[in-house]
Amino acid sequence: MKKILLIIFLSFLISFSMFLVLIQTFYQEQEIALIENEQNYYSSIQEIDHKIFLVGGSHISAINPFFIEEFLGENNEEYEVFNLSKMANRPLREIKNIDLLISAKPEIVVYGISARDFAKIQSINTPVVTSNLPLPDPSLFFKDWLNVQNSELLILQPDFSPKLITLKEIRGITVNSQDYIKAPFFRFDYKRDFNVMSDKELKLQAVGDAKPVEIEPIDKSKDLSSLKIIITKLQENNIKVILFTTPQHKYFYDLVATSEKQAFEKIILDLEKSNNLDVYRFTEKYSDLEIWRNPTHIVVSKSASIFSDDVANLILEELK
Amino acid sequence: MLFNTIEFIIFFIIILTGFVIFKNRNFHHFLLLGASFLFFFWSSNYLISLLIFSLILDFYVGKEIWKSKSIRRKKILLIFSLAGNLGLLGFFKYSDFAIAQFNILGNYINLTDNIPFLNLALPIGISFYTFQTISYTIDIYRGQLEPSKSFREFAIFVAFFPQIVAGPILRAKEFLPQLREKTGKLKTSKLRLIILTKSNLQIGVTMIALGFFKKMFFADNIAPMVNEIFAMPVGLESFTIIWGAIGFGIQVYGDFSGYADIAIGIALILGFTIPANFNKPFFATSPSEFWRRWHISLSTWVRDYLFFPIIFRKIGSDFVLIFGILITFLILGLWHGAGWNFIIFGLMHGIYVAIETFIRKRHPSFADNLLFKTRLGRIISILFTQYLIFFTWIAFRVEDTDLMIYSMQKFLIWDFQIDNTIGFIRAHKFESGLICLFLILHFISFRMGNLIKRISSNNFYFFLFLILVMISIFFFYDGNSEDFIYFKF
Repeated sequence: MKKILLIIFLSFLISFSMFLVLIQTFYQEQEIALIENEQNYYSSIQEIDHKIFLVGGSHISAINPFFIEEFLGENNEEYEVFNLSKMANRPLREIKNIDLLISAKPEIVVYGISARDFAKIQSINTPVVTSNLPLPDPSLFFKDWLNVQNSELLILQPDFSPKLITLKEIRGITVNSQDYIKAPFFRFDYKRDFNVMSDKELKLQAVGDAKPVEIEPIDKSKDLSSLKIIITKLQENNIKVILFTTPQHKYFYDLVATSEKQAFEKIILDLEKSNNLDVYRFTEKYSDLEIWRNPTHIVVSKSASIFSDDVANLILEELK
Repeated sequence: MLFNTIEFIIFFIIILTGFVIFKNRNFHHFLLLGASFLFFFWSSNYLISLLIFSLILDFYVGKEIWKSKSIRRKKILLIFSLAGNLGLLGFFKYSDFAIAQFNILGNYINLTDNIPFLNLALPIGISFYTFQTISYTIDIYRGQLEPSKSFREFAIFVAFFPQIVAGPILRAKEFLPQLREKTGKLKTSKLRLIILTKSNLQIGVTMIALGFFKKMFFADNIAPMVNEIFAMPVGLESFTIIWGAIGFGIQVYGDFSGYADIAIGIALILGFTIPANFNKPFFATSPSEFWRRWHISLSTWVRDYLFFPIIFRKIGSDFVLIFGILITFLILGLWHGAGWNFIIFGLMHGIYVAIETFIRKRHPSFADNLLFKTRLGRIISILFTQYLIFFTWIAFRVEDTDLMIYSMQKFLIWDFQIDNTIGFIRAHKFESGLICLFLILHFISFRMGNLIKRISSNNFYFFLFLILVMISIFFFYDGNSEDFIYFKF
């Protein structure tokens, strides 16, 4: 019996140690590669005149830079537009690149934000019964105990996905700026029409996606303070900032807790006040249109060009 | 509580420690019962009251049926138990579906007011434990089982935590004796000590590791590709839909048989043998053989408690036989969930098995044709059967009727377009690679027989297997534990 227990323990120890060491190494290599690629990328576009950058997380990846360029061109505004959105990009992450971004000398930065950019993300399993339980929920005690916030360890990071890191390592993904020069970090093919999600799937997925998260208070939110610094730095360098809230499908938005909506509204008001700018509200703008890849992301498709069209109009308005 | 969470691993280690440290049979049984209730309460909260209701109902009704001398009284008691169990199951699982059908019917006959939905929370595992308690009462009614000696014993049988939420569905006559002390050849009514043995631990851990491998490495990683295909299949090529159906079949198998393997492994470590729920279903050579290999505990349940009672009313009648098959599969489909897609899923299987049975009965020379005995014949039978089975997975996966019909048309009537499918598979190399790897491993395990025994009987293989499984899971874990598909049934 002892031998079997020893084998189980040893196999766990060996595989977990291997995992920890390798995943950390892969992650660091990929981060370095990303930074190097970003540096190369920004320096490669530095010489281009009249640039507009679209910045934020995956929620803005559907904005078609080619569409906006064409639209502005038709209105006698010659600009090159770059969609620099990145997966799971929060202000806390974006601030690391701000000097690099400024060095590329854009004239306008369009920044998309959502409530969950300011949330404490937790990995929550889905209990079937989640709210208004008449009896105490033991799983919540356990989750609080397990939930290690703001840890430096990679495996305890809330959005840690070993699968993503492993696959990147296997594929040897590096940013090939030549292939996707206008959207280097997401690498969407904007000529392609991706599928929209069916109504039923949207409903189902919204339930999972809208699981409650806690928005950090204004005075404690590192993401908010990072975003303020980003905006201030951009403004100091004479770069115009356009801020907007990213769209959400009604199935998702309706399920989001009122407390989350209120907390986000406070953040918006605080941003408007402290940075002296207007935040454009897109959250509910397309909430019932059939243009969704999932409840929080609009699809990359000609049929969803209304999103790019509205952002283009926003830019045009600001230019005037 | 999900098996694939840290909570469960800690929970299980604590339970095992309790069994090892305190060697008292009463303590062991209370610990097992307490752990089972805590496990269930963890995910079900107040809905545990339904389980307790079912336990009390069937324990006392079972006793009364056994004591009763009158057939009429036995029958009334059985009907009372069935009404209680099926009433709860029907109310919680099917009432909104029934209301929706009433409302649709009402709209046809111009009734203006719709009945509002009840929006009840679906109790986890209700279909599993209800079937378990029903079989207990029916077996007593048939005189095939003596009622449980104590409520504690019966409660452990129904609420046994490794299998309560997603099976396999246990039979009391197989499980209850395992709770009792064995003296010579006789099982006494004395409860037994739960002793951890080396071989049970080794085989159990191998089963658990295999279950996690199927669930977390294969099923969870194939799921995103399948979701992408069936979220909006309109416009996709036939071969993409076929690839999606194959992927979903493997996903469901990995998910569900993975759960069953973990449940069997945990039970074995505790010294209990629970029956296998799957036996290489992708190598079935006919639809009826598929159901002897897939979700075996459910298919044998519906056979024993539904199909046989129907056909034994008029043995030899083709009509009754076919009717029995169709009704059985209709119920089997509906058991999975309240939706037309599940009814269609069940009926499709019913039609397959009915046709097969009819051919075997009426044209035995065709069924016994030597071609089907050859290797080529077997391969053709497997491929043809699996094509039919994967076809039914579309009904299981796609709830929207229009999208389901579209996908089914594409599956059956090939458009012979391949360009986008190649592009799609290229864009999903990892998921597609997993499907191929799964099929290869499934084939190897089919050819090599009992792999679990081979792995667990050699310490070196056991060690390597554990490392391989853990590495696969750690490196390809996407950061969130996915629910098991069969939890919602």
